[in-house]
Amino acid sequence: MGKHNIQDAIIEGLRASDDRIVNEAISACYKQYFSAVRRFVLNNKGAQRDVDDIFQEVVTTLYQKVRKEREWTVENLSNYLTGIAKFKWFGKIRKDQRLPLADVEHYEVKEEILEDVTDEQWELVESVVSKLSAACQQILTLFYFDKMSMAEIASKLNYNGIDVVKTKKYKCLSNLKEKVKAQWANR
Amino acid sequence: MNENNPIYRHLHDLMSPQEKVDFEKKLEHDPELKTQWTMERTLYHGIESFGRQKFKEKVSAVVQRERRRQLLKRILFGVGVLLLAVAAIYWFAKPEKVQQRTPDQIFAQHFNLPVLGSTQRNNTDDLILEDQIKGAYQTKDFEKIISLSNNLSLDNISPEIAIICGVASIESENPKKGIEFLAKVEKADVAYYDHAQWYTAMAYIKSGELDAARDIIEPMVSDVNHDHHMDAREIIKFLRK
Repeated sequence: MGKHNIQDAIIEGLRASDDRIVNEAISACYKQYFSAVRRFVLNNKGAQRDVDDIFQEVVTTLYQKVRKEREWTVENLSNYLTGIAKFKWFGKIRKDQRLPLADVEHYEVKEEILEDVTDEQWELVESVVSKLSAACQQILTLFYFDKMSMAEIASKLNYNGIDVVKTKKYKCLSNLKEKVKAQWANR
Repeated sequence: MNENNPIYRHLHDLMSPQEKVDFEKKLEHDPELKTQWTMERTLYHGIESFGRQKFKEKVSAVVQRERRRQLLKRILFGVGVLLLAVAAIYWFAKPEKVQQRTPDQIFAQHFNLPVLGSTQRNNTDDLILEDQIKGAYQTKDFEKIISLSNNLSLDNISPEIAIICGVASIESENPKKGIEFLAKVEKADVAYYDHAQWYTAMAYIKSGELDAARDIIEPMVSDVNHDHHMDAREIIKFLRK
C-alpha cells in the first residue's frame, strides 16, 4: 500500500462510526508515525515516558480534526503529525517553563485558548461529566467530542430513531447543567 | 439547546461571518447572554475534554496492544530462529545413528569380492597352480580354490593368491583359515596390503571377533589414502561401542 493510500485509509478509518475500524486506524497510525514522533521528542530533551503522552495527544488531535472537518485532507500526514507533536511538545515545555513562548508560536498548529474559562471551572465540568451515567457520558461525548450526527448515534447505540437520541441528549445535558450550576453555586 | 439556538450555532461554528460578528457584539453588551454563553461554552469544552481524555486512553490501549503483538512476533521469531539453530546444530552434530546389527548382517552388507590386478611371477614352481586358482576365482569356485590351496606352499605364496585364498576361505565359512592366508601379504606389497587389511577385518567380523576387526579398521578410518577408507568409515559405526 502506497504512502497516500495508507494516510487516506487512516483518515477514513478515524472518521468511521465503528470502533473496530477506528482502532485499526489508530494501530496503523502507531505503525506508521510513532517512530517519527518518538525521534522528535527524544531529540528535543524528552524522555521515553513523554513520547507516549505526546503520541496520544497527536492522534487525539488528528482524530478531532478529521471528525470535525469531514472533507479535510492533507498532502503529507507525517509532516502534519510531526507538526502537532512539535506544538504539543513545545507547549508542554513552555508549561514547565523550559522554553520561551515565541518558540512555541512558530508552529502552525494551534489550539483555541479559553481565557475566560478557569482551570477550576474546567475541572468541575470534567468531574461532573465523569459522574454521569455511562449512557449519558456516551451520548454527550459521541455528540460533542466524536462529532457524530444524531442518526449516527442512534445507529451506533441501537436507539429507535434520532428523536430518542435528541431527547436522551437533552436530558443528559440538562442533568449536567443542573449539577454544574449547583456545584458552581456552592463554591 | 437545539441547533437553531444562536449560542449553540456560535459554539459549533455554524454561523455565517456576519451572523458571528453580530452575535459577538451582542455578547459584549448583554451580561446575561454572556453568562449563559460562558456556561454553555464551559460545558461544551468540558465534555469535549472528557471525551479527549477517554480517547487518549483508547489510543494508549491500542498502542499497548500493538506493542504486545510486536513483542509476541519478536518472541515467536526468536523462538523460530532458536529452533532452526537447534535443528541445524542437531543435524550437523548429531551422533550417527548406530543400528544394532549382528556380525553376519554387517558382513553380508559390506563384503564384496576384490577385483585384483593380474601379476605374473617367474621362476616359481606354483605358477601352474596359481593360474588354476585364478581361473577358479574368475568362476567363483571357492571350493576348488580351497582344494587347490592345499597344495600351495604358504611360505612362497604371492600376495594376489593369498588374497584370493583368504577370500575363498571366508566365503567357505572358514574365516580363521582366511586370516592365515591374508597374513601372508606384507606391507611392502603395496597393491595388495590395503585389500589384505580390509578382508582380514571382514574375516574377524565373520568369526564374531568384532574387537579385533575394530582394531584393524580404526586406522583405516584415519587414513584417507587407504583403498578401503570409505568402506571403513561406513562400517566403523557398527563396530564402535
